[in-house]
Amino acid sequence: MFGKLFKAKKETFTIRAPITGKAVSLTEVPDEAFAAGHMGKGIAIEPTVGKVVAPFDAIVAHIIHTNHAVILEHASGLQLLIHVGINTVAMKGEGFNGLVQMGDQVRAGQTLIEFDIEKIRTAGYPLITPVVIANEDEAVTETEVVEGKVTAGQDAVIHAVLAK
Amino acid sequence: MQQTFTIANLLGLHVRPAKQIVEAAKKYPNTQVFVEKDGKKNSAKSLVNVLTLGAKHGDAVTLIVEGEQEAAALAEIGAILSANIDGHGAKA
Repeated sequence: MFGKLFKAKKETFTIRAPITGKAVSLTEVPDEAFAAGHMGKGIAIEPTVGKVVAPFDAIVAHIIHTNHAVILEHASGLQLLIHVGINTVAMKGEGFNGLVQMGDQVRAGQTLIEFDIEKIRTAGYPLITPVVIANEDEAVTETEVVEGKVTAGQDAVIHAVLAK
Repeated sequence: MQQTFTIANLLGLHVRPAKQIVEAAKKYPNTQVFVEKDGKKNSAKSLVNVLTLGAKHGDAVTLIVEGEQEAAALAEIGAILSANIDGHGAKA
C-alpha cells in the first residue's frame, strides 16, 4: 500500500503523533461520528501522556474555548483536528490547559494543550483521542494510517497524499 | 434566502454539531451556504469556519443560502442549528 502511495508521484505528507500513547483504528472510538469516519479520515490515540504537541509547523486555525480540541492548518492547506477524549466538551475546560491561541504560528513539537488524564478518567470520559483530517475532500486524495505504540513528535501516524 | 436560528444545543456549536452542519451544507454543491453571527459571516462548508463563529447555547445564528435548492438547504441545516444534539445526556 505504501509503495502505491509513493509511486503516485504526488507529494506525500507525513503526520507524526501529536500525543504519546497507542495509535489504534478510528473504529475503536466510542463515538459513531468519529468511528464511521464522518469527522474525517485519520487515527485515534489512547494517550499515556497528557500533552498534545504540534505534529508539524502550523497555524492554530481554531482552539475550542474549553481547550479540549484544536485544529491546526499546515501551509498546504491541510487541516488536522485533534480532539482529546470523547464528550469531553461537557467538562467545560476542567482538566484542560490550552497553551496557544487561534492564529498562533506553532512549530513541530510545540506543546498545544496539557490535559489531566486522571481527572478526565475520573469524570468518566474516554480518553481516546481522534486525530483526523478536517478538510480531507479539499486537502488530500489518499491516506494511510500507522497503528501501534507512538511517541509524540516522533512516530508517523498518518501518511497523506496531498491534493495539490 | 436567510433565516435566523437560536442555538438550542446546551454545549453550543462544538465539534460534532459543527461537523454535522458542514456535511449537510456539502450536500448542496451548487448552493452557497453561510452562517453569520455578530457580523461575522463564514462558509458553512468548512469545519474551521463554522467553529470559529464560537456559537454558544442561546446565540442567534443567521443561515444564508444562495443557489439551487435553497429552501431544502435552509430547512435541513436550520434543523441542525436548532436541535439539542447532545440531548438530555449532556452534563451541561
